[in-house]
Amino acid sequence: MSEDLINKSKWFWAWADDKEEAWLRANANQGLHLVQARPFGLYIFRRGIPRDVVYRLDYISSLKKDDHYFQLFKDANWEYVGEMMGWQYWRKEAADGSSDEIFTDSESKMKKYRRLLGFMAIFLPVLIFNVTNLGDIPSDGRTFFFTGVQLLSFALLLFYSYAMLRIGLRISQLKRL
Amino acid sequence: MAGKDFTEYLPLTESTYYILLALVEPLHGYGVMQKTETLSSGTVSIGPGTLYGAFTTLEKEKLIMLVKEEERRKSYILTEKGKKVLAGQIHRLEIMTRCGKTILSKL
Repeated sequence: MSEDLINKSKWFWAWADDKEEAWLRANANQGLHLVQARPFGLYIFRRGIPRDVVYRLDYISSLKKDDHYFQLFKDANWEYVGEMMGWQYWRKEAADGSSDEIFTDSESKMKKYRRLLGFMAIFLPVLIFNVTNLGDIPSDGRTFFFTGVQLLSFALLLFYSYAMLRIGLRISQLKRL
Repeated sequence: MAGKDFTEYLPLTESTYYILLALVEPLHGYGVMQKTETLSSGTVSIGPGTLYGAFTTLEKEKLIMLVKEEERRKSYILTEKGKKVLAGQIHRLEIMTRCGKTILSKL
């Protein structure tokens, strides 16, 4: 492991990915360039020359993106940094004369968050099933375990609903006049 | 089941309008981006994220079709259905600019 690599930890909500983009740009301006983003807000940077680099995040499942996807971004001057759970990290020099945006209208920005909602919705039935069904199991030695699972599922379901609501709000903010 | 009536696609977004307009000749993604800048006199630029999503949707709805795939670049061209949609959009735009100009000129 090179000593030029620096770990940072910072949490960003999925509906505030613009804040994450701004934070990555601020780091690049201090000479810290993203090497990898990892789950739970862990970031690895490499120390280098400070440059004004714009970061943009796309959300697209690994199954949907193909060679064509990457080539299109590369042709438009974007450099691929990597993926973290469906989030695609792209960057480019701020002053290269081309547009700083990967999404140039609100419709396509909304679609990005809809893809995220669509992915999150997959886990909803399992969570709801856990919360509603596990409580009916007659009490025996395993009651504590089931209650634990149920509580955890309930907490997750609450968190999930909140997150989906926030993403939904983000989508409605993008609607234009 | 009958296909969607072309009017259901209208109005098009500015990006979609220029993408369809650019694809009267076979072009790959970056070509569409450059042509849009030129056609719109620099008023509209299309980012790769927006274009990738648009290509996927427009191909699925058969408004454009894949003509070539080389060096990881897909080229598309407008279909007959796409031409109808485009003509419908231009008709709407004509009405918009005509009535807009008439009303504004009286102010």
